[in-house]
Parts: sequence; C-alpha cells; structure tokens
Amino acid sequence: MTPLQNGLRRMGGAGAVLIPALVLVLVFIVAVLLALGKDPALAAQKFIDGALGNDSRRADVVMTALPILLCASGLLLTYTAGLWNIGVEGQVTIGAVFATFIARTVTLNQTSIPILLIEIGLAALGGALWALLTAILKTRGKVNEIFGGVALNFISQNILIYLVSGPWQAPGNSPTTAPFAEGALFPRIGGLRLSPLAIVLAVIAYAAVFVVLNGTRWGLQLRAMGRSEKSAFLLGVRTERNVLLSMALCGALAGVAGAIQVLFTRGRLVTGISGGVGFLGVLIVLLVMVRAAWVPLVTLFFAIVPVGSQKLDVSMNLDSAIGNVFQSALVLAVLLANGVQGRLAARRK
Amino acid sequence: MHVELDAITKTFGSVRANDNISMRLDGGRIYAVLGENGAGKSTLMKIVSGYQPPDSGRILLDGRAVQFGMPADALRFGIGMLHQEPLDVPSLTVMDNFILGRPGGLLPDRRGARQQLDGEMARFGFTLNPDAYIDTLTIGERQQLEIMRLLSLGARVLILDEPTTGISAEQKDMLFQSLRDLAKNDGLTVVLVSHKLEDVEALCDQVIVLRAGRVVGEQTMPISTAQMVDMMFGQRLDPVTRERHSGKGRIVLQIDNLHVEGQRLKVEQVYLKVAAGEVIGMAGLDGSGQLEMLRACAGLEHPTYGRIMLNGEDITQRPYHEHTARGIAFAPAGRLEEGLISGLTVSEHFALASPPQGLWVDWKGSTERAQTRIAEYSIRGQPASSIQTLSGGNQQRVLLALLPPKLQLLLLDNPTRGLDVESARWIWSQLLKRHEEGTAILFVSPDLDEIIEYSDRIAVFYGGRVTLINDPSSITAAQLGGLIGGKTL
Amino acid sequence: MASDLFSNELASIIRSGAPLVLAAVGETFTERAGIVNLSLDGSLMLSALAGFVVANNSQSLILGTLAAILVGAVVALIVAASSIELRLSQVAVGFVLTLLCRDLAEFLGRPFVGVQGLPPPYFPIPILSDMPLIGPILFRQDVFTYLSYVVIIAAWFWIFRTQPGLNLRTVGERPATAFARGIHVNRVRYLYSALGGALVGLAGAAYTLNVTSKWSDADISGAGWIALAIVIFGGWYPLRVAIGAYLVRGLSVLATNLQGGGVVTLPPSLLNAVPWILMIVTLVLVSSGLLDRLPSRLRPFTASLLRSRPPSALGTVFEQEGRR
Repeated sequence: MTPLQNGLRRMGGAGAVLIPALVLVLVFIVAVLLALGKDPALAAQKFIDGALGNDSRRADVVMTALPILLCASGLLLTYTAGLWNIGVEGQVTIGAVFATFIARTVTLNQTSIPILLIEIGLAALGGALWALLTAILKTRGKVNEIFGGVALNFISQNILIYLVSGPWQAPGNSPTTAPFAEGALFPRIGGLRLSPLAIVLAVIAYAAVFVVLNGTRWGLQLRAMGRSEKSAFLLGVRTERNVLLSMALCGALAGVAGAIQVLFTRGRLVTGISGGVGFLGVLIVLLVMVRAAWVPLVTLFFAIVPVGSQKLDVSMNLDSAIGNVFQSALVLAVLLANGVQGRLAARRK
Repeated sequence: MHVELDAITKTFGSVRANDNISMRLDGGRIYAVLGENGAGKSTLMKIVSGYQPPDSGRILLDGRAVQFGMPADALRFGIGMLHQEPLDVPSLTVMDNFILGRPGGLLPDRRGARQQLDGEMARFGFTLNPDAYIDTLTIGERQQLEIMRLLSLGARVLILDEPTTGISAEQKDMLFQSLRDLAKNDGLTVVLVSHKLEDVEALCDQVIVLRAGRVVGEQTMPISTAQMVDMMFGQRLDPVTRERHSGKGRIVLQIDNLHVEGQRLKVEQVYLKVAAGEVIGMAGLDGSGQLEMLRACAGLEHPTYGRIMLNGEDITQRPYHEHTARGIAFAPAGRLEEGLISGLTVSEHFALASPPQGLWVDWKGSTERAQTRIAEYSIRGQPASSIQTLSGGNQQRVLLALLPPKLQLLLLDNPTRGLDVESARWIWSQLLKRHEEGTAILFVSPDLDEIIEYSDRIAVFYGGRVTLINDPSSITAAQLGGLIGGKTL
Repeated sequence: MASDLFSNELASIIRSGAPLVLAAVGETFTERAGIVNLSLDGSLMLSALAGFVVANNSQSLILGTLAAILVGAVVALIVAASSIELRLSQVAVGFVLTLLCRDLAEFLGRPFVGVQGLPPPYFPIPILSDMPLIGPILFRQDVFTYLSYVVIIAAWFWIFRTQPGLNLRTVGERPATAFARGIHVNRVRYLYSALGGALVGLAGAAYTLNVTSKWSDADISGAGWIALAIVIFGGWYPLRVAIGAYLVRGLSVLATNLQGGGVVTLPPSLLNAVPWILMIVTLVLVSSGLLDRLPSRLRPFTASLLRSRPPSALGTVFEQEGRR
C-alpha cells in the first residue's frame, strides 16, 4: 500500500467517525433552537449566508482562521510531545500585549514593514516567554502544565485588564487603548478585510510544523516523548530541553496569533483580545487527534462558525455563543465516536 | 479439600496458554506445578483462583463443580492465591490490608481483626507491626501477611506463585516450615508454582510439570533433578562453562565511598573497582539499594555522597546523557514502561537511538539498520512492526540491539525478566560477547541462580552495606539467599 | 466593635468558601477512586445556572439544588464512562467538557443575567449560634454552609474510618488488589464520580442560590480550576482540602481589605491575579520536592502538612486480565 492509499484509507476511517458525530451535534443544536422557539432552517440559512454570502464575509472567514491556525500549529508540537499546553490563551494575550508596547507609540500613517517585523518579533518573544514560564514550572517545579497554564491564563487576563483600564487606557471609560496608527497595523487588500502578510505568516508556520513533525529527527523525538517520556529519555532524547523548546515555539506562534488579533482584527488592545483562539486551537488538535494533515480543513470549518453565528445575533436575536457550543459539542462527539470505534475494533479482534 | 481440574482450556489470541489440562489435588499434600516461563502455569493458577475464567473446562471442589466470577468468589470456596508480588496496597498499613476485603458492615471490626491477626502471628511465629505501612516491608513480610489473611478468611487451598523470588533464605525456611505445618496439621492443599527445582525438592510431595500449555508429567517425590529437567524441557541443558575473569586489568569503573538512598534504606560506604570485561552481579532483597546503585552509575540517580569514576574521570552527579556519551549504557527492566516506546515501529526506534546526524530522519538508513539487526539478533518482527506487537523476548532482543557497540560499561536491571529459559540463555550469550570485547557489566537480578552463573564477582546488598564475593563458584544459591537475608557464611 | 468586624469577616469567609469546599471535597472523592474530573470549571458553572433557573421558575430552593446536583453528577458520569467504557483520556474529555459546559452556560444563561434570585436560605441554629465567638462565625449561616460542614466531616469519616472508604482508597491506589479482594472496581468508580459530581453541582447551587443569589458566569469563572488545585494542595485529604479552600477565600478577603484600608494600593485587576499566583506557589511547594531540602528537624512537620502524593492509579483504566 502506498502512503497515499494508506492516507486515504485512514481519512475514510476518520470520516466514518466524523459524520455520525456531526449529525449528532446538529440534532442537538436543532433541539436547542426548537426549545428556544427559533426556526432551525432559517437559522441555518442565515448562518451560511453570514459566513459565506459574499467576498467580504469569505475574507472574514479566512482572517478568522489565521490566528486559530497559528495556535493549532504550535499546539501540534506540544501535543505531539504529550504536553497539554492549556496556557496557550495566555500566550496569545501576552503576545498581543508585547506587540502593543510598540504599536501604541507608532504615529506613522502608512504601512511600515520594519515596524511590523519588530511588533511581530516582540509578540513572538512575549508568547514564548510566557510559555516558558509554564514549561519551567513543569520541569523544575513539577507543576502539571495544565495547572500552570490555567493559572498563567488568568494572570495574563488580569494583566491585560490592568493595562487597558490603567496605564494604557484611552481617554474615556471603556477598557481599551486608543486605536493604533496605520503604520502599526497589518496592511490589508483594498476594500476587503484581508491581510496577505498574516496569511503568509500562518501558512509558513503551519508548513514548517508539518515538515518538522513528519521529516525531522526532532519531530520523531517529540513523538517518542509523547508516547513515553521515560523511554525516550533513556533512548537518548533530551526530554527536558525538548519540553522547553516545544513550549517556547508554541508560545511564539501563539504570540504571533496575538499580534494578528491586536494589529489586524481589533486595531487596538482591548479586554479579551485573544477571542478564544487558543482554546479553539486546543479543540482542533484534540479533534484531529494530533494529525497535522487535517488541521487546515478543520480550522477553516471552525472559522466559519463564529463568523456565521454573528449574523444570527443580529438577525435572529440568537446569542452568537451558540457557535461556541456547537464547536465544543462537536469535539466531544468526535472524541466519543472515536472511542466507540476503538472499542468496536478491539472487540472484533 | 480436594480440587479437580477437568479439561481446562484458555487461549489468548492465537496462543493456547492452557490446552485441555486436567489434574487432581488432594488435601494434606504439597504440590509443585513446575514449568519454564510461558508453560502456562500462571494462567492455570489464575483460573483456579478466580482471576480469569477458562474458555472451557470445569473446576470441581470435593466433587462439586464451581464457577468463579472474581477471586473473592474463589476465596469464599476456600481457594486463596499468593502472588509473586503480593497483591496488597503499599500506601496502607498492615492492619488496613488485613481488614481490606473482609466481610463486614459499614465500620470494620478492628478489634476482632487485630485479635485474629495476633493469633495468626503467634501461630506461625511471624512478627509484623500492625501499624507499619506496607511499603516499609520486605516482600517476604508481605507474603507472610497475605498468607495469614487468606487463612483467616478460611482458605483450604493455598496457591503460591513463585514465592521464593526476592526473599531471603531465612524467610524462605520460615515460609516452607509454615506450609509443611499447614499441610500436615491442618490438611490444607498447598500448590507451589515455580521454575526452581531446589524449591520443589525441598518442599513438595508431588510434582506436576507443564510444557506449552499441557501436562507432560506427574511424579511423586523424591525424583532426581535430572528427571525434572527432562520433563520440563524434554532434554538436558548443558551447563554454561566459561572462564572466570581474573579481575585484573584496566579499571573501568571505580566506586569510592558511595552513599545512595534506597526505597527502604540507605546504602553507605560502597567501594568497588570493576575491570574491563568483568561481570558483577548485584544481589539483594528487593529495595536493598542495588537498583539505586545501578542507576547512580548510569547518572539516573544522584548519590548523597561519594564518587563514581569512569576510566579515572569523575562522573558523579553528571547528567545521564553525558554518561551515555562516555560509553555507559543502561537497560531497564520494564521494557515497555521505560525502555521501548509503545506505538513506534522497530525502525523508528533505530532512527531515534542512532547517533545524531543532521536535521532529518534517515528513514532509508534506519530501516536498513533495523533489517540488519533483526537478522543478527534473530528477532521475530519486521522493521515496520509496532514494538508492542512483539513478544517479550523479542522486545528484549530489540532493547539489546539498540545499545551502541563498543561500550565501556553496561548496566542491566533484571535482563531476563519474564523470559523463558531459551531466550534468557540467548540474551546472556549476547551479553557475554560484549564482555569478551572488554565491556564491563553490572547487573541486578532477583534470580540468584542467574547471578551465580554469570558473575565474576557478586556484590551482596544487605542492611545498607555491600560485601563482595570474589569466587561465585564457591557458593550455592541457598548460601547466597542466606547472605542477602543477613546471615554470614 | 473591632472583634465584631473580625467575626463578621470570618463568617463571610466561611460562607463564601462553602462552594469551594463542596467542589474540592467532591473532586477529592472522585480522584480517590482514580478518576480525574477535569471539567470542574465548566460543570460548576452549568450546574449553578441550572440551579438558578429551576429555583426561580419553581420558586423552590430545594428543586433548584436538586437540578444543580443532577447536572454535576451527569457531567462527572460522562467523564467516568468515557474512561471506563471507551478508554478515552480523562483529561481530554474533561477539558472539552469544561469548554462545552462553560459555553452552554454562557449561551443558555444570557436571558437570566441581572434577574434577582430567591433570598438565600439563612438559618441560624438555635443555642449553638449563641455560643460566644464561634456561634456568630459558624452557626449564623445558611443551609449550604451547614451542608459544607457536614460534607467535610462526613468525607473524612467515610474515607478513613469506614470499610467502603477503605475500598475506595484501594480502588484509587491499586485496582488489581481491589479486584482480588472482591471489590467491583468500575462500579466504585462510577459511584464516586457521581457522588463527587453531585457535590460539584451542590457547590454550583451554593453560588447562585446563596453566595451571589444571581446568575453571572464571571463570578464563577475560575472557581473550578481553583478547586482542582486545592485538591492537590490538600493532598487528597478532605480536612486539608477544606483548610485550603478557606485559606484561598481568606487570603482574597484579606487582600481586598488591605486594599480597602489603604494599606496597599494595587489596582483591583492585579489583585484578582493574587489567587492564581498563590496557586502556582503552593503547587510548587507541594510537588517540587523543595520541602525535602529543608533541615531534617522541620521535615516531619512539613511532610504531614504539605506532602502531596496523588492516588497511584489516578487517571488510569482498570482492565481485568483475560476478559474483554
């Protein structure tokens, strides 16, 4: 069997899991809508129109997908190594904060690549440092990365609130900085909200991660660690160093995602700047079971959901949080379906 | 009580672990169920004591057919099993372990249980502190507790799985004496599962031999060792002969006044010089510090005091990867727990363990290397086989095949754990090749015969001190069992 | 006057600490059986919402509480079943459930933001509440707070003094031994997952029906994670877990008071980070082995107070040999 055939067969197997799970979740969502007295057919129509109805909306989907893709790419590294980097949300936030250090001082009114590079570099540095905190707590303090990450998420959130309601607050009462000057922002194409630079960054990051995991010795080492840290160590893998390195790289990519959020999506620093892209990345990596090839497709699908459900908010008075419910319910359903399939396969043997 | 097994069959996948086994065990007698590893004796005993249901066949107690859903059911019918590593809870006290699983209501009857425990202890002459935690006891003491517990719950049949591994000679004598009393005075049926002929000779009235899942012989003792070996293997094994190392020559490893902390005690003031090509066996009761000493030499454990020198260079407290770079290798006992990686293929293991060369994985090279080693080590498997699909013996071969060539020092924790005799001999033939190339070998094993057979010198760990035996051929396994339990020769 | 203020403060710590105590002791039960219910942060929120909505619609605190308990137990049972029946990672399922429950609570709870709840079930205990000093602190409270006392003591007694408690500890430490002694391992795991989840649900009810008496996801967000950390800090001992919960509440109140008294001037947002910094510091203390470097004179003291070792079989699946 060629690798391609093998891949197709595996994709078929995954489809057998994905489709029943998707149906199950759609039934669940329809039931919720009916219980709330909303017309599911109308909601579906509005949702699809809201996400894919015209060029500008399709551009929004792409731009929404980019930070998620960056986070998911980074998380592929840590999850392959068996590290539950729940702290990715905080790494996005700190990345955005670090980018803001420069962005709020810029007064230039036209796009400047050097400024952008410095901002992005700082954001990556901030995210990486924040991730290293969790990693060092794990390797040196023996604090599980889940708890270290969660705590640092909340701490970063509070730092953010402090900054935008304190020293960096724009005149007025709302917790936000002033909008940044054009020179600090990602350039965009004509009338569309589309930034080629952000697309390039995300695609390069994903491609690099894909190659690292599938072709390099380091990728093999991460896989070995993820399966058994003890054995990998005895076989010569420098596990502690790899924990630090994979966490830092994931943090850097999350930081860049934060830069896109602050320098493109929002154009200023506000509370909740991450917009949950980190956790979405975690959900995606769990859904694809840490198989890198599936990530872009699932990410695009996950980006359609928030864009489409915004339309529901406006036109049907339906809280857009239903999009989040849909996403996490889908991941749970896929996990469960995978479990069922695994048990059935084991029983057949 | 007499136990009859009628045509017991059990298969795991394609392996027939028990193939139509029938036997009759009478009260008041001590039986040995003898066979090499993989002969099916453990499976059979697990079926008799309710841990596993048979695929087919019947168990009859005093002529009545019974079925067990759980071990507790078997015990209710009077069948109790003592495992090689006693099934207790290390973090609980002796008393809690004694109470655990006893019938009773919401609140345990501590006072009643205590009286019963005291009674049992007085009867056998055991001295356990009821408030001590299990993880501070030796395996021998934990066995004593289990035996008392099973008897207090009415066991009339006592099955013991390899009970003499890892206990001292003194504890063994005590155990055997109690078993004789139980059979003679109380009419218990005692079944000793073992592959050790000397235990069978010392204790048993009747021996039943299993091979490849079938009963291949039953004899009343006494019979000669040679007869037993014939039944077990169908042929006689030639003893391995080789020349003992003189202990002279270049010193590879020098241990200087080393102190390490073991599970239960500290080992102090260890001095040892190992010459190139020398094989040192480290004997001791479980948890006496031999494993910590071994791991300290690998850089996996930090000694509290003292120095370890390799070829005259101080390597104490250096990290593990520096040890490997200097030509030291460590092979752990838990193959899939800390040696190999479940889910990775054989060639991925070779790719992982190969010396670093560039950024990319050399798939072609590592597959070729895997192919060569598979042939060299006669491993049953393919380069693309996932490691967990290989048998234990083949996994051990992979583990050895992964070790780099031309080592200075090879450290082995229980290198033949769970292997049948043939595989174990093969593994040792490979290890001895390395020793001929000048690699010094240190190994830990609970199997005293293995230690005596292959060591040039033996390091005995007892009571936090290490004593050296310079001529292993002058000592028997029984004497060594005495030494690790604190007796002097 | 000053002592009045002090005892009021203590009473409020005890009261606002009740949900944390209930959730953390509940999780202690679950983890003692070998199951990690990581979904706490979400299930706490969803059960709090369920309790609030049902209580408001039925005008019954009891029905509301029961609804919250039901939600908590069901979520915990999903985690247990995914592990026991489907062999899925408890952490993965727990984390996804955290997000799902949180999102559901946010979505379904939107219409209830700002709705006034029923009055809390305040109920001073006769005689006891008149005891000097401790009466006003401990016994002029509400039903949820009294339940938290009962739960702490009952949990300690159950786990360490009874036969089923001994069985529970065995299931979490060495399931193979439990099986050999006639204990149905998976049955025990389901049972204590449900019990632990029910206590988490009760904790949720204690928030919306008592501590805040209104629905707001922001008030509850993070509490579940803190409870999970407290279980580690408490070393899986109910009494130490309870002490941990009160310490966390006490330190937050102290920090707020210092702020209010003008002793320290930190912006409130940075103050809100304090519990999380504490969480990291305490986790480092109990897990890193730092304590083993203390002078040996101090060690027995720190060992009994701060040593923390998880149940050996935590997060693993028990498979009986030779069966499918």
